[in-house]
Amino acid sequence: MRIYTYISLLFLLSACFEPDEMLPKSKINTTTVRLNTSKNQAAYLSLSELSRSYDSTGSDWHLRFENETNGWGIFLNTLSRVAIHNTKSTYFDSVNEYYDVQQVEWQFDISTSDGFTPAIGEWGDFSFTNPKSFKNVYLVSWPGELSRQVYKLQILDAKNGSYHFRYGTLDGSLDKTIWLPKDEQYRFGYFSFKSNEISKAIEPKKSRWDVCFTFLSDSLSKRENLPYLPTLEAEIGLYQGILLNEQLNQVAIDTLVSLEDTDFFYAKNLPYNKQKELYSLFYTFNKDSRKIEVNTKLILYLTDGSRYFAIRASNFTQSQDGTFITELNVKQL
Amino acid sequence: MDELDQCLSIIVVPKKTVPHLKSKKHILRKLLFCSCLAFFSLCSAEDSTVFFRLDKEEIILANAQNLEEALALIPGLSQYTLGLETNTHFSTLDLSQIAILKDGYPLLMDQNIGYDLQSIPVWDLAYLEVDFSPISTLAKNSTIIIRLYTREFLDKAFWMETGVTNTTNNDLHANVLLGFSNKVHTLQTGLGRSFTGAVYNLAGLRSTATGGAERYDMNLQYKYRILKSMELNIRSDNSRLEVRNKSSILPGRSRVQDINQQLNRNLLYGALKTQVSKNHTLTLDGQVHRLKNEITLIDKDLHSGKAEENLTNEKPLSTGYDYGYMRLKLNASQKRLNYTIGLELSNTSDNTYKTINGIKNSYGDYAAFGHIGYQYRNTVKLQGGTRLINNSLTGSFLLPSLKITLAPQEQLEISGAYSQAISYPLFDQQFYPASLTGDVTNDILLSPTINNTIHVKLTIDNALITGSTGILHVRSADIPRTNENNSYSNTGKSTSTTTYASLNFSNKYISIKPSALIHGSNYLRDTSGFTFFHPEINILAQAQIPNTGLHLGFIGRFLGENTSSLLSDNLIYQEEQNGTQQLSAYVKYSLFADRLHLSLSVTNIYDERRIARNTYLANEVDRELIDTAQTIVAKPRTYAIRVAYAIL
Repeated sequence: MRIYTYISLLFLLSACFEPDEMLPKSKINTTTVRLNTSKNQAAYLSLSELSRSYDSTGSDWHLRFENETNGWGIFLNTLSRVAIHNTKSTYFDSVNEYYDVQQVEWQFDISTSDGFTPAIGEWGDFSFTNPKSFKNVYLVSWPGELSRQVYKLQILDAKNGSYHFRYGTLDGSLDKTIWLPKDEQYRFGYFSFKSNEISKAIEPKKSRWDVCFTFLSDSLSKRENLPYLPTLEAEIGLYQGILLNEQLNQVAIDTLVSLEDTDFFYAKNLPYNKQKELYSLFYTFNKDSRKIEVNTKLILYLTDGSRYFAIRASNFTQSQDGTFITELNVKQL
Repeated sequence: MDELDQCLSIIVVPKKTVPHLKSKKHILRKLLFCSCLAFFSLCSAEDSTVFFRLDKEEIILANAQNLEEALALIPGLSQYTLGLETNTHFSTLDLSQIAILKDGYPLLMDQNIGYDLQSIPVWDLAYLEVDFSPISTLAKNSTIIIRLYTREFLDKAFWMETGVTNTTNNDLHANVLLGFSNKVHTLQTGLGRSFTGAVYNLAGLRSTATGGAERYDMNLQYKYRILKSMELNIRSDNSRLEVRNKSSILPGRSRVQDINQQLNRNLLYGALKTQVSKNHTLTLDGQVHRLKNEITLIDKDLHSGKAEENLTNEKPLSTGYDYGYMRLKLNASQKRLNYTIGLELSNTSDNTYKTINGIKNSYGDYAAFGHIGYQYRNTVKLQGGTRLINNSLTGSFLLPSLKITLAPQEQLEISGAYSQAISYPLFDQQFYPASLTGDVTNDILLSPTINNTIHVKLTIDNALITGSTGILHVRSADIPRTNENNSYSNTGKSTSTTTYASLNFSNKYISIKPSALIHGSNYLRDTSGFTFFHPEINILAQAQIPNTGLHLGFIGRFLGENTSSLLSDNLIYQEEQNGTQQLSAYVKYSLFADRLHLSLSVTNIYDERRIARNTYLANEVDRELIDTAQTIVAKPRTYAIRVAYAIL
């Protein structure tokens, strides 16, 4: 009988679930982001495949339109010194060549009431599914070859996933109305007054990138301790920032655990907030050396709920020609 | 059919409802021999027009270790695994419309909860049978009934059976059955452990197509002969199943996301029977059944070994149900007339989501039933009855059944039957809102699907060979279907017609059971006229080589291309699964006066484990291929060795 017991025990304890193999630690990948104030405004990164990075293909645009389903923000190309003024008039023809543009107080952005995103401000009532435009006429100005160019712009409507606006010269020699459809494959749609057309292929498709390193403008008073780039008038701050793809826009920032030690289990328990953009995150301004430095303890965590990435800036260099190089370490968790 | 006939059908392979072939003396002798066993048996008053019977030896031959694997051997049933789900169906009827009974009791509650058949062992079974449209005291799901029978109580002081199976797929199955009896008290107990190795998507990859599974079973049967005419039977089935489904390693990381399943099932049956007169038996029986199926999503880092449960909703739901069942039944059995009347109560409740939005997730039903059978001489038998069932949510249903059996000649029998049965909608369709299922809005007042069945059968029976052919026609109505509001409504209709022919040739040394079926299935009778035909051929054969102790056997199933259609968002999709062939064989050697059995088997000889399942979008003139999936239809070719020892 004893032998039966041993045989029984042998069979009961054998043939079990196979243990898992141990794998080496997740690799930390490194990449370099290179921005230039005049030649390259934006660099797009795919975090899961860092070799897939794209630079902005051009800066020849003046207005940038949000393509997100419920987003109706309109932005200026601040780096190209595009400025705006709200005339408060709703009669397009009343803003003409007799309008005193010399007295205009140009703004490089007009904050919305919720204080987010420098743009042309609240151009309509966004409580409707299709926003109702206030139909204010704006003046848009940018540096020309000899003097600043000034156009007038009126947002007429926004519906069926399209922006409808009218623009023209003050003397009435150009008066056009255009529908700019939202293309949800791209984060933004672009428009150039110079070529009177929708600018194509300024940015890669959303499916190809996760984060975009670029320059974002904001008021100096809000961010007076942060470094700025005096590329424009002294009153405008232009900061190195990160635009987030809406597919990966839950953000947490942590300084407690290093990139080498962090893992998925730590990352998933951090508090996350949805963000569209981040300002001057990795950088500090060393007042003694008067230099921008990176904070290597700061880890940026990004997630969409299933994918988790930890990002650290490890080095930063700046050259006289307006080139900024940031070295990034990226770990997929 | 009465208790006595049912008992006869257990002891002697049931072949005919009209005992034309048997002499009166033979019948009387059998009646006498079986009277006690019949009277005390647990068998319910069911009709036994058996289409197919799978014996224990055939279960062993195909190395089937759980009910899911055993059902894959049954002619007419098709089975495939896609993702984490295994689908078993007979033409348009899925498992919610096919009753599965063990020793006469519902095995899967009301069959509307998505029971995992891997959790049900088959090592304690003596055989299983498939009935088409029987005249049954059951109304729910009884269009087709699969009956599982455990071995009879043995009046022996001690007996034991044990068996161990080891396979090349790292499977190991061990079980032991013990019996004790002092004539008054009889106890049979069985213990089992079953480990089934995982099937991987590709060799060398971590991800599994079907996860490794470990199951522990403990079954008990107790019989107490209180008086000569009164008996108490108690049975209990308990299993614990753990399945680990492994995912692939997430790209660029050392992390995986596995899905584990832990299922506990506990059943307790009880029956008290007494003979109230010479021809009348009164039975009070009941069942308590609890199921808990926990699904966990596990995040695991393969570098650090750290693992944590992921509490997001992106995983199959954990479920759990309680089922209570009670029946009071009076059987009368006379020479020509027999009848059964009774009352039945049952209740099904959710023990995981007891209430959702203030609504209790449970329903109950009670039923009154009566069936009568009358035999005129040895040539005509009439059976019929009705059942009035009242469901606490959806109201009352009156379900008639009628069968006539003619035996114009001694070796010929013709029968025709009509029956109506219902099957309740799936529990999640009725109770779980879209926030839980992420799918379609539930409807608590969904009606049951109603199946009207006509079954015509011709049987030829002589001393050497039994053959039967027939047509089973099932018209289903009130099938839950998604409507334009993304909620369920009882608008679906389907039809299936199965033509079959089967032979059973057996003598002392050889048994051959070939069968052929052609299914004609129209899944969307309410919206389209697409009828798809799907043939299959099955053969089971066993041979004993005289004076050597050697047994040989094989089971083959050859299934043709199988197409089904479904409606979603007002679009018709067709799912076409390629044909497959499954062949298993074994050789068994018996030693020590049949006490020790050594068997070597090979299953899935053709090694067909994955077949393509194409999804087409049907339009007015053609159809467009939109997806191709690989379904698992069998485990890889596996060699198994089994050692069994019995002290009887």
